Amino acid sequence: MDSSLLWLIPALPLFGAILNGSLSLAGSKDSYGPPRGIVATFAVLMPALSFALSVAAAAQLGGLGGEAAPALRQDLFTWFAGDGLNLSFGLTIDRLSSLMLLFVTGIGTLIHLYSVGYMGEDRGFARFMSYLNLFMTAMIILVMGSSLPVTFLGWEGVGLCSYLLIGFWHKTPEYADAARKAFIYNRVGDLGFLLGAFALFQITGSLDYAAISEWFRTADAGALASAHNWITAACVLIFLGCAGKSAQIPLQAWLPDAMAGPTPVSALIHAATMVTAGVYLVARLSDAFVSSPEAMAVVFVIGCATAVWGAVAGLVQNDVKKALAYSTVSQLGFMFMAAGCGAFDVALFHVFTHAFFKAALFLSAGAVIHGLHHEQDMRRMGGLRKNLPIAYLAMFYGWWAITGLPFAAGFFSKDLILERAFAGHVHLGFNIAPLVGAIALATAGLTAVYMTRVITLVFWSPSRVDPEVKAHVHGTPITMAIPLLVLGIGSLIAGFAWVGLPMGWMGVPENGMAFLASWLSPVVGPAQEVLAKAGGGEHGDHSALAVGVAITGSLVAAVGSLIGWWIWRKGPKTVPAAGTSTVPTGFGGGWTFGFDKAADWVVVKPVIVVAYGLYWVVELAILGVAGWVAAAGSRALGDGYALALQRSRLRTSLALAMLGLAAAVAALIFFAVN
Amino acid sequence: MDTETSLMTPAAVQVLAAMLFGLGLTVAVIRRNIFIVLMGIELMLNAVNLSFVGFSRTLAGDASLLGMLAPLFTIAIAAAEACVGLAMVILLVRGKDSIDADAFSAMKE
Repeated sequence: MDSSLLWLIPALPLFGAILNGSLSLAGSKDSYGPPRGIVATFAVLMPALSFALSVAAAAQLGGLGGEAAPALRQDLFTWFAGDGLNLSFGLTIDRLSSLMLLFVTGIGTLIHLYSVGYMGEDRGFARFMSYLNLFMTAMIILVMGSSLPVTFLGWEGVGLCSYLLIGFWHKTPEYADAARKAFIYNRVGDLGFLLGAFALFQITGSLDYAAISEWFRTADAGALASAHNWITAACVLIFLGCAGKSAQIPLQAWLPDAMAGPTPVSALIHAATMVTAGVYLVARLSDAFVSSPEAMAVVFVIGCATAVWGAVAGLVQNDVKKALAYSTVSQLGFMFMAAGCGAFDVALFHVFTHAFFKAALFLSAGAVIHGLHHEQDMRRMGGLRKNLPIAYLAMFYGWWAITGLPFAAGFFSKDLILERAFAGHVHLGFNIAPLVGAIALATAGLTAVYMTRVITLVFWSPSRVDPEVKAHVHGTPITMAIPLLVLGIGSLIAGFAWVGLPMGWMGVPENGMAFLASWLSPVVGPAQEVLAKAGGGEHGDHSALAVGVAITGSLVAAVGSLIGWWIWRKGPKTVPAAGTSTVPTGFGGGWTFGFDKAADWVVVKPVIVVAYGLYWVVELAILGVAGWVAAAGSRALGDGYALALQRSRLRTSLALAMLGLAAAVAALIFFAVN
Repeated sequence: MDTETSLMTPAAVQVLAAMLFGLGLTVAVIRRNIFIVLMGIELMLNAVNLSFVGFSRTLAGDASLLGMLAPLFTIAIAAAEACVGLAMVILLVRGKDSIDADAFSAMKE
């Protein structure tokens, strides 16, 4: 395809969003809403066309192999121009954004199709599809933006759509609260993004990714050393933005609450695409990040902590979507762990595989919730294999992939993360690689335990479903079944993208067994080279380590799965009544929500204290005393004197005001001339 | 028409603008009919616009551009202001049943 057609990729879903938005408004008086068929056709067709264009662009990009940094670029218009800053609204497809674009539009299209089945009966169907299409536009702009401001536009756009979709059922106050919580947490991160972008501009004099990378790749050691504090500040601030968007500690608390949105939203936005934007941005700016070991250490430590915390918190959840949400938090932690080790290509590979298996898991959970008439409590599920075979199949494949059992997607990506963690390029003053590897391995084991708990409670344990509900389980319509099966099979085979089997047609892998690594190397390769050199040439032959990690990782996954199955094979000890709160109680619930309490103490309470302080000091003490003094003064002068200053007639007041203004201007001119 | 030799010298434009402004101000101050007061204020706004446009012809570069842009903003804001102002006047007139500006003096004299 011609690079002058790149604008069509974000514009097509935008057209769908506008069309469906108009239909939704036009049909608002109608009790049934606008015709479902038209809405569904356009809503699914537009992202599908974007996907087709992305495939064409990726195929063309594969043919540009000879260049150092192959890319298709289209500059639409000059966004702003001024002294020293000329920014065009550019869209770029390079190796990195084409990977993101393929799964964003591909999985996005599947989830749009799924939504037709899942949300088809909802009164707000057209509004829902219009928001989803708008999300696709924003996400595509985020990924394709060739400079930080363009990405920021998409970044804010996905945040807005996330807010709109979490609060889609806004008549429930808790859901609206969850939407606001997500929005405000992201706002904190966005401040970091903006400040980080300003700092990068201060350092490199450009906001364009290509120019920023060029600056860092060609800067001499002296320039890097003198800008070192700025670089660290820029990277840490950018990472704050990524932590907000990708739900990392300390800004992770919004993601579990975001499960208030309809399930397709959780699958598309809060699992497969938007939340991985942070990893994308870190990889995009990898040249900057590797120039600051401190920033890399921050990314790494936060990633580790989040991975462990998410995995443990996922163990105590009762709501199936919440369990998957904490799993997403944990998996995102894994991705940042990999990025912090300098394994940007592996982090992106995990983003890619995670998009498949987590979307499959969420969509099958959605099929279960749909089947059981909106029951989300896993304690009231079980034994649903016969009733919901397709959902079971998809969840089984997703479970296989996420636990890291051999040859599904997670086996490849997670083992690569473990391998890079053990090989370690993290500089904390001493060699922490073995410790890091051990943490990663233990978390992988925990992942197997909590995911097996989920699938055991939903499908493998004896049924605890209300017999009344069980007799009327909704089947899975074809529009939901197709995405479930495609994503389920995708979770099995996506891992082979690393070695290049399914994408071999795009061009023979240059590097044999590492197709994806060589695909991404024009973008993140130089940064990884820098780290490999700094690591003292330990970037040698890792094949023994790789085999060892693969075997150990698989064993840990198998043992974790067995433990999960053994503990929960008979279901939970007590089955709560329908409509009981799913919030975990006791110690498990207490510390899980510790971050909410911490945010309350660190942010909310201080603000309230400051507000009361202002009320007491400014309102009561200063203004109150001033008013009292003025009143007392006029009383002391007597009524006549105070009243003499007051004009009640409008026209007199106006004339006096104009005279005063004229006098002030005259005085200004007089002093300016002299 | 050759504008440079005609009566429309830059100074003449500014004088005209100042005269219109004074006229508007006078109307706003001395007339008691509140609608006429509003018309006076509109006249003052447009006198300022005229002054901007006049300066855009005399000054060079960015200042010239600014002289053409500022009236656009003024016009937009004046439209909004007229809208709000008329709505307020209608409500006031309904309350007092009078269009005399002096009838709205609620403070003690």
